[in-house]
Amino acid sequence: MSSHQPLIKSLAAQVAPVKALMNHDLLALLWLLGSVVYCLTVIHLLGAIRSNAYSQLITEPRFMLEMLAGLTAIVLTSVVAFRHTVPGALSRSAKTTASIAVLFWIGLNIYGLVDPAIEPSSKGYRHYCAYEIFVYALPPLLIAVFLARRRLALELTNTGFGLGLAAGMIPAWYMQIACMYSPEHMLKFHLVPAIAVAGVAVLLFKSEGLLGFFSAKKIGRKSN
Amino acid sequence: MSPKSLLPEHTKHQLGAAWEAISQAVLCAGKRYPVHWAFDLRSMTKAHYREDEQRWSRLMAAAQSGNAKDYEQLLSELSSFIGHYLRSRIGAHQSLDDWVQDILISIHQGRHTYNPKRAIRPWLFAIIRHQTIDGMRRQSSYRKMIEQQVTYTVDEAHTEMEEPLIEGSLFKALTPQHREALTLTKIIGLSSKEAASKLGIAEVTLKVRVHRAIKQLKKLLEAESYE
Repeated sequence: MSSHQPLIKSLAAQVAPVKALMNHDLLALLWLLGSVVYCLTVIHLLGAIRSNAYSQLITEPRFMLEMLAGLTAIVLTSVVAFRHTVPGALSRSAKTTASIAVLFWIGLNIYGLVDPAIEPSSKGYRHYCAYEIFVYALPPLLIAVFLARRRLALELTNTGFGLGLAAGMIPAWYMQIACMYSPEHMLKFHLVPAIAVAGVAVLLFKSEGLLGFFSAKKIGRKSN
Repeated sequence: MSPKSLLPEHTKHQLGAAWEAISQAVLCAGKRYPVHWAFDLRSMTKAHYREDEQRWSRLMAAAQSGNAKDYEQLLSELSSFIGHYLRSRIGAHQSLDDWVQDILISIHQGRHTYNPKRAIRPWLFAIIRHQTIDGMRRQSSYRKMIEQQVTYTVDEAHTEMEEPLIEGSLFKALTPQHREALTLTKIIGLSSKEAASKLGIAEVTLKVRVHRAIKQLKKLLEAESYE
């Protein structure tokens, strides 16, 4: 009889039927859809949108490319972040692809410092865009944390960073349309808050309070 | 003092049990696959692999619907499998039993995240890899035990405890510098300062080596699980 037998017997004795989880990719896309709808609604309701932004999307292909690159980065980051919540679901290639997509989007904006996609102007400037991004990203982040709690996130830092970055990038991305266009402004006041949200998410995941939900050891102690 | 004499009584007992399990497995294999001269070990291993995969997946699906008997069988098989796997990769580490327990608890907590339509091994190895690396990082319980038990000098301890550890194939794969740094800090339990002065290097250099060694070990475990 192995020395683990008492533990095995106790775990087997308390086994209860469990519900099948929703596919992590589908969950990521549903979360993303909900978050995008929420962020767009809030941004539209709580401030004016740059008046010529939509026409610029059609007339300026590079601006359109920047927006599409941002959207792709958000989709991939969300999918990868939710895959983190299921052991073994995340492949190295998916992680690399998402990282490349995010870097490409940031890279386009850095390149914009030298050669902007559209003429930088202060038209549509929102005074508190940085704070707006941070605050608007919090509800999607909290929902993501709640959803992740029902799963098994092993790498808390990576999971937190991924979910936080995805949540932060959604309002940051749409601020390219809602706020003034300037690559420098984007990097300083739109991207930095998104990264700050990712930092908050890491702290949330690593904090003692949440550890109780995530740490296998603590959960094990609870159930034993 | 032989390396084996350092092991706690229950671990020695488990080693005996492990040997018994191996013998059983060999006997079972003999029954399943009639022995003949053209016996192909590789095809047997592949068949075993597939069979284990299907059985574990089926047992886990049953466990998800609340079947305690199948779940107990699954955990028993997995505990033996994980024990052998870690012993062959990392060596006869004193905390191995604790890690196996942590992994079993993680499997229990995360059983709802397994999708029976998918292979069980990637899911299982992700948990094994994470818990093992996490266990190596923590090591606090192990250090406490060592502090209570160690009555011999550090030099003796180094040699005697490293012996069973370097039997593990993953430890062998590390560079001597990394292996040395990891053994002194994570296995023997010296502080970074003590280990650095013992190796005659700066404390920062030692920390870098330990960090890289763990990273390397994690990579090796990852590579192993996808093989």
